[in-house]
Amino acid sequence: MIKITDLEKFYRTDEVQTIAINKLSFEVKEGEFVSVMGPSGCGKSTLLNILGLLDDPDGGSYIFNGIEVAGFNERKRANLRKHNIGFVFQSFNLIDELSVFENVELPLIYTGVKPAERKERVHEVLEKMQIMHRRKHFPQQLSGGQQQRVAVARAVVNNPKLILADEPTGNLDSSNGNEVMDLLTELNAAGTTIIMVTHSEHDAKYSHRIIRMLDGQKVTENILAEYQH
Amino acid sequence: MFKIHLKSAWRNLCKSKFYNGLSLLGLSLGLCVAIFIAVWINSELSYNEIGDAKRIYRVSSILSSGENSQTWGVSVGPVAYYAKREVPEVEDAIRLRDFYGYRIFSSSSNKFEARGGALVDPEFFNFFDLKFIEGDASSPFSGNNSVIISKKAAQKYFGTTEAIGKTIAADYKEHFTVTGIIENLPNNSSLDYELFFPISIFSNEYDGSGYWESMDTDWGNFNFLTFLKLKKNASAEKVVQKLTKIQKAKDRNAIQSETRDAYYLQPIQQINLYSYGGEPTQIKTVRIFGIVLILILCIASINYINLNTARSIQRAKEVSLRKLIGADRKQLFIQFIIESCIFFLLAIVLAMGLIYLLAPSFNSVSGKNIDFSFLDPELWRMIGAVFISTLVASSIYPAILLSSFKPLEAIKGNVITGVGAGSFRKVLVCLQFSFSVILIISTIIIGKQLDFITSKNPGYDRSQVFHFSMPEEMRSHKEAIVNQIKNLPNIASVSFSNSNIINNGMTTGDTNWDGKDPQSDFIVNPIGVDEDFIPMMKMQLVAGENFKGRANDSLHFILNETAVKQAGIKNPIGKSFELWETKGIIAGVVKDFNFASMKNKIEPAVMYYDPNPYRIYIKTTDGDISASMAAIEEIWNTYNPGFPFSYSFLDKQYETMYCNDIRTGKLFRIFSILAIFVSCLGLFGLSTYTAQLKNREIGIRKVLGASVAQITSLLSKDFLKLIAISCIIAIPVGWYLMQFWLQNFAYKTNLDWWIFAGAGILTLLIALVTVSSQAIKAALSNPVKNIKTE
Repeated sequence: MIKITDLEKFYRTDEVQTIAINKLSFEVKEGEFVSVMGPSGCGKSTLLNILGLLDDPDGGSYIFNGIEVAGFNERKRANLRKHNIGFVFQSFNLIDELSVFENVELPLIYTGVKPAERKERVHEVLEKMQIMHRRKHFPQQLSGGQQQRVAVARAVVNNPKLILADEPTGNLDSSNGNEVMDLLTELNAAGTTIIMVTHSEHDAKYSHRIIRMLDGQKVTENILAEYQH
Repeated sequence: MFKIHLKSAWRNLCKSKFYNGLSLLGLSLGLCVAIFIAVWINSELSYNEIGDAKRIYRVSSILSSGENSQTWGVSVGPVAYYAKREVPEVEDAIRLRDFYGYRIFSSSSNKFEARGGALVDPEFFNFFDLKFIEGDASSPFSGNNSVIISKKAAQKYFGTTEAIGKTIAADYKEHFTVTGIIENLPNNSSLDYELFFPISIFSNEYDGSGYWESMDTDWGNFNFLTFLKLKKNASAEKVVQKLTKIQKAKDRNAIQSETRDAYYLQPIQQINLYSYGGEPTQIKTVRIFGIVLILILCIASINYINLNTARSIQRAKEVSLRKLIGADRKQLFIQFIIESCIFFLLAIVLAMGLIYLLAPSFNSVSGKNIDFSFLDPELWRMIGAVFISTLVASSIYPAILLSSFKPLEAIKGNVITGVGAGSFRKVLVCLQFSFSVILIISTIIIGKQLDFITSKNPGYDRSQVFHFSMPEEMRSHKEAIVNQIKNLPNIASVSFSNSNIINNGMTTGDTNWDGKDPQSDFIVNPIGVDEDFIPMMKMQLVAGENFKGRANDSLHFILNETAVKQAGIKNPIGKSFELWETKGIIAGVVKDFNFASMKNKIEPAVMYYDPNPYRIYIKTTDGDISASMAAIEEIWNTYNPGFPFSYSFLDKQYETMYCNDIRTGKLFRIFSILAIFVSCLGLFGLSTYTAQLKNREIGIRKVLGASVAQITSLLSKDFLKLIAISCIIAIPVGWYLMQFWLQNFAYKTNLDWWIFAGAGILTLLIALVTVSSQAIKAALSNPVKNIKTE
């Protein structure tokens, strides 16, 4: 589903150029659950942003679903993104002015889904995330775990092929964190590809494969024992 | 999608009550003022919308003499007569003349001062498409004792519109039967009449024995306002050429060598905006108000843009999230435009509330009588135009900026308001305050000019002088009356003239002197006076002597300096001079004095001795004159039973002459103050926001020992720099605009340097107070809290 080859990304200031991603190559197959780990500043988030079509690479190739997307303009990237990719963030990133229902509904609005179908799909996903009873609440009225469930609901409501999760349990206690990881596992089991950036070895164990990075490069790649064929 | 945009917009509005409140207040005030100005401009531009106005012209007469030329709004009777018969481009022509000579118009139940009466050609009503409620437009008058009245006049005189057959009396002696009732003429019109009498009353005065045989052949007396309706697509210039040719052929006194046009056709919708000759007058004020309208809308828009973009960092995260979950730029742009629309709708509702409350005050200050009815489509046109232009100007930039955030950076809080947004905001603040400084400069100069003309010495002493016109019944007892008045307490002196010295309004070309070019008319303002007039008015004789009250005074003339200069008479005293075919000599030269508006240059004037002028001038002393006024009224009543005693003080009349300018000045002052207030609201919002953004920095600086003054200066100096730059930009622009406005006046105040310096300092002070209040508040806050909250 994803194939990156010799991917590069630099950050430049007036005098200094920092390499964020350095000739990185790997592949993620459809239905895989991959964790990306590494110390702060190793390029994990930059990688996630490029994979999520939020940022452009400076070099190399990025093939998404068989299409070369490196060099896509913002409009094309946005179009591809909204139909194929869902995001889950450490800090939930819900829109404070919108209720739970409205937050989850928003991606469907942007993809032009009709109101009746929107309502049905939002209800369905809220039921699945067990947050239906809080649908009229605003983000500030929810616990961290509940907020992250809403964020996951929002990420999956459009049935994306790929979910990119950036430390999804980073702001949660262990019990809420486990609940979110279980949710992601269920989604993956249902066929959604997941790439997750995390510092947590515990969370990484939910995935099939762990890519470890340092200084913008892949240092190791482990397939967890139970997924080895 | 629209619904969710509405919800988001409303919730965002409620979230930042302080900033949105400031923005809303500024915008509502700006829109309210702008709508008032738009309505004022519209009222000036929609003057005389009567009949097929676009094809109707008033004939101005141009009297050329040598290098000089005068243009009058009135014309001679034959112009309409021949225009209708011999100029194919003219569809119709009518004449109108004030019906004066009477003091009272009365019905059986009511009486009023004789105003609002006009003598008109019978075609007048069809010419202006005036609708008859009763009567017949094709034959409106049944004879010379017939009158057509407006609906308003019917109510006024008879208390009902069923007035056909009823009579209106002039001075209780002439009776006119109402033969028609027409709809009221528009308020916003120079045809401010309510009683229409047949012009034959006037034409019958020609009995064929005088110099001019009939009204239609009298080329010498400029008695009428003449209106021409041209055929569609007809050229006014061609009509002028043909009328000039006719005048040369038919007027026995026409100067055949004169090559200039004798007429100018002024579109009736421009009568209030241009002079008789088509020179721009009030249109200049309209243009300046147009500029003020744009400035005020810019100020209000800039507030909105600045407060919106300054706080955009707070929206950055939301924008980024929306982008991450699929919103494209267009969708976000639309969202922000919708938000602006909602905000503007709120502002316009508030502005309309303000308009409703302030409409009576606006009408009173502007001297207009505008009906601010929200059922009036014209008002909605104004509101719509102001609303849409401001919305478009204000909403696009913030929407572009907000929708342009790069989601990644914004979500992490790395992005500030976009590259250049801060600089752009500074430019806008500069522009906004430049506009404010221009308005302050303009306000000061307009006020100074009005002071200048109202306090300038007109060349005579108008203080404590009142005057009234004496009817024949009184004039035959002149000496007895003068003695009675002179003996009253606190009466200083009495004199006579046949002119209203504030605004003489009479001219003639019937002059001659030795050495005058026979091919030129010398147009002068004749002023008939008695021997006491010049001393009483404290006019200064620069040569010769005053009239002496002797028989030979009627052969003496006193010229003003301009007359002597323009006539080119050297050593004038004793030289011959002829006025209205009376040959005499120049006995004196009086120092120039203003007998018309200060907007015009002093024209040539000739004072001649009139032994029995109708206007009495009475100068009082400082004491209480109420008893004397009562006694004079009693004298009046003795000779004029049934007629009200009506008099005017010169001072008041002088002010009335400038009331339009004084109103303009007042409106300007009010609009400027509001504009500056709106600018300050924006500055207050921005400075508060800057102080909030710098909370942590302020905390750290305080911990490190910064004083309140240092922190205040830190927060204020950037804004004050911008204001200083604004002053530098605004001063030359303000100077240029006011030079343009002052061209309206022949006598101008000086554009002193202190006006510009004062406007700059005043703006800086206002800005300093606005900004420093927030800066001081921030500087006094608890540093520990600031550091922690960050």
